[in-house]
Amino acid sequence: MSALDVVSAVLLLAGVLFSVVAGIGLVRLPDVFSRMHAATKPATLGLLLILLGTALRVDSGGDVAKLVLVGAFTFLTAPVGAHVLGRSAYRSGVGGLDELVVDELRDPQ
Amino acid sequence: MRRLPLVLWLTAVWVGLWGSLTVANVAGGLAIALVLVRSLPLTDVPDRAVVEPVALLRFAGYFLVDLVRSSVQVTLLVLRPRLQLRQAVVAVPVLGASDSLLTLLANAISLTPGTLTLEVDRPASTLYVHVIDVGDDLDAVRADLAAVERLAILAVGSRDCRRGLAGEGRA
Repeated sequence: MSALDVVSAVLLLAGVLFSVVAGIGLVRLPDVFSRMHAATKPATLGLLLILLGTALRVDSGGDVAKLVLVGAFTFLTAPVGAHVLGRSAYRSGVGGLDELVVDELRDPQ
Repeated sequence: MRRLPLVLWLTAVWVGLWGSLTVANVAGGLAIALVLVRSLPLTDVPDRAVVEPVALLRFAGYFLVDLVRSSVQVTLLVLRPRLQLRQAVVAVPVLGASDSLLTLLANAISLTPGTLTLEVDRPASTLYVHVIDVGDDLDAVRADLAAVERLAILAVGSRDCRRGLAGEGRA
């Protein structure tokens, strides 16, 4: 096993770990808003690590280019998706709003 | 031609998707990019973003570190045996309502520790941000957000934004 294999394996495993955590977060966290946090951050990083780990193992530069594009589009779309979901949830007043410690959108300072 | 960066980006995506750099791929990508840009014009962004390459790189670096930090933070939160969150929605005033700045900032905030952009108030140039766990220190969260704002302005802010930043002694 070469050093590259080890690095690639570590990246893949770390990516899987973050992806699992994102899944657990979706189940354990109490409301839409906190769940969006789990769906954006660890999920994005997890995917990124998996892409990196894969990029180290593929032979052709063309495949690496595709992996880079997957990463770039995830970066561009994941926060936008989370923002739109969070915003619609807030506007339609779904559960979780009562538990806010501070809400400056409702009570401007 | 003002649309040149967009055409180049679309061509690069096309070539990347085909996976090989050949004359035919580049020509095909260029042709399709030109047709797309001609037939589906984007709305004009009125503000002139002044892109500083070095500051943009610094922003990207900070952003990557933050992505790792935030993922670890959410991981610890999620795996905590007793889940107790103090959630909040905080207003983040942004200097100058430039569209490119607000977009970059809203996206960056969504991927940085504990914060998620919830609402954008463009006329007031304010972002409303959901904080998953404020702990006891709301001011620390505000300081974090102001730091991201500062880096974003230094990277793509208009001249007015930069002047505002300097005026507040933060440049």
